Amino acid sequence: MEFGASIFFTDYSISPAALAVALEERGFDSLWAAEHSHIPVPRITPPPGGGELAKRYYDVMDPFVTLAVAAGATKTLKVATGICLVIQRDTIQTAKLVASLDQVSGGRFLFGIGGGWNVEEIEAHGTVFKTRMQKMREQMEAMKEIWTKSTASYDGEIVKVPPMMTWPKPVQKPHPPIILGGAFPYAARRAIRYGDGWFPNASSGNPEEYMPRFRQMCSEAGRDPLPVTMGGATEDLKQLNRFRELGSVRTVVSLPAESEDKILPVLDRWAALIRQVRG
Amino acid sequence: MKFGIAMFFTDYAMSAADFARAVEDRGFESVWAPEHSHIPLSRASPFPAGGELPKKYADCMDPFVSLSVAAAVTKNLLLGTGVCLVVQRDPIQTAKLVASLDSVSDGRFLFGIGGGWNAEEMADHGTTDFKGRWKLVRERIEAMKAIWTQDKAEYHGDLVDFGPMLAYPKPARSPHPPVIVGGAFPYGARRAIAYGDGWVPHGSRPQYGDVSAFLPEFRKMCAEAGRGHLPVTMFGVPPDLDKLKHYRDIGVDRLVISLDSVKADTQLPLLDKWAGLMRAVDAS
Repeated sequence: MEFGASIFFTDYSISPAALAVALEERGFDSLWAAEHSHIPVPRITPPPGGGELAKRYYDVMDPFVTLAVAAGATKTLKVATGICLVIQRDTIQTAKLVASLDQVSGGRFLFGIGGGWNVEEIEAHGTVFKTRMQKMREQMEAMKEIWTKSTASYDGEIVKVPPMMTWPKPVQKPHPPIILGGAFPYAARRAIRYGDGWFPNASSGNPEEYMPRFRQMCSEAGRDPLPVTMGGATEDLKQLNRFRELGSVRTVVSLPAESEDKILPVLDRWAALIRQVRG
Repeated sequence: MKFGIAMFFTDYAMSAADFARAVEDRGFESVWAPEHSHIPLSRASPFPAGGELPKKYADCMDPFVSLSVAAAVTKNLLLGTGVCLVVQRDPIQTAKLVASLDSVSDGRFLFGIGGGWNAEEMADHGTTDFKGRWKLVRERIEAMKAIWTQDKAEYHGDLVDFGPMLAYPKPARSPHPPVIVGGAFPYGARRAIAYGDGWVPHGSRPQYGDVSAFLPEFRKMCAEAGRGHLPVTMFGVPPDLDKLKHYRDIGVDRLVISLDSVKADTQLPLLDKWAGLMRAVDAS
């Protein structure tokens, strides 16, 4: 089982370069950058976890910028969106961003995606909230055309791309893994339909129940078991071992948007845990 | 007079990291990344420089990715979009990209912008009113300035309209990175004076010859508008020492040399040659 770390990069958090180097040195395989383009006020949609929306949600930097810096500072660490709200982004521009980041990182990009929850934020980008999941699927189908064809086009109900040319293509073939973020069963179904992996969070639902069911759903859909990246890891050796036994290929710890002197001791503790899990 | 270097970053050119280091090592002030999101097959809009559209226009990487890598491997090099086609980009997302890049580079970003010329390309991003695109550029820039400078930003234009929002980080450079407006004289110059912090003309174009003839008029326009000294960044200059000195003598602030998208073995000698010319201008 691999270990990743996710963070909201802000101008008061550890820098992308410093965190990326620190993770690579400590045996983590991946860095995951969250995103929100902006937070409209007044706040109407409650956050999924309830309560007040944390400040980091409106302070977070663009993930393609921070991950490009992280890639520039490292050699082997995978860089990942965790997750990218593709429904708030232009399809053609996002395909170009992904291909570019996969190029500059030498094929180290993981494309974590999700449909979002903040109605006001999503609609400020011209997206209809109710049909956003269909839009996301069509966007991903269109991006796959763009990444893999010399002349690409896509004609969906919501997303339309007239015949066009664009390069570079991603380094990873046919394209970087598309990892669907979200809870069981909906995000799991989407992952099976058009993804290359699933990214649930341990705090939402019960992994003991959904991990076996997910494998069964993959098999029923005629797909090999899709790799599961388990979010929400805590410093609990028993839990980490259990994630591995349940078949997670990777677990991701959410780091606070804190400065380097606060983050590095946390990472040192994780480095010890990683050694223990790997036995 | 400062010297910058532009290149279409592609997967067959020097990498962004190697190129940025090479540019900084040779004492250039800035590196510039152009952009085209894609090229529609229906090539109806003529290429402004004339002739067939070079392949690199379809091949160039996203400039915010290339420049972020460049930021990671350099210390003092300024990083410019040359130019960013804001009519093809969501202003909220673009404001975030700019602020993020300025933040990770400690205030080294130069926001070169333009209105584009490829009507079909921008139509694929929802900008179908080609003739009205400059109004969209202006409103998007005004909206981004609101996002960069206000705690609770809002903007209400005819084409761009949003209520109060929270969006951080603010750019490292206060109030925001220079907005350097691309475009020919007189329209591009007027737009730079109206809402820009600098002007980017092309050194020469078939329709106007050499742009240096317009500089005195541009300075007069700036003075009349009360804008003081707006820096002029000139793209597209020949490797001709006399011409470079001429540009310096008439008050061009920055020259940007466009190099081909080639590998290090071809590129490094060209960078060396330009570095020599830069030193010769400085010494004269």
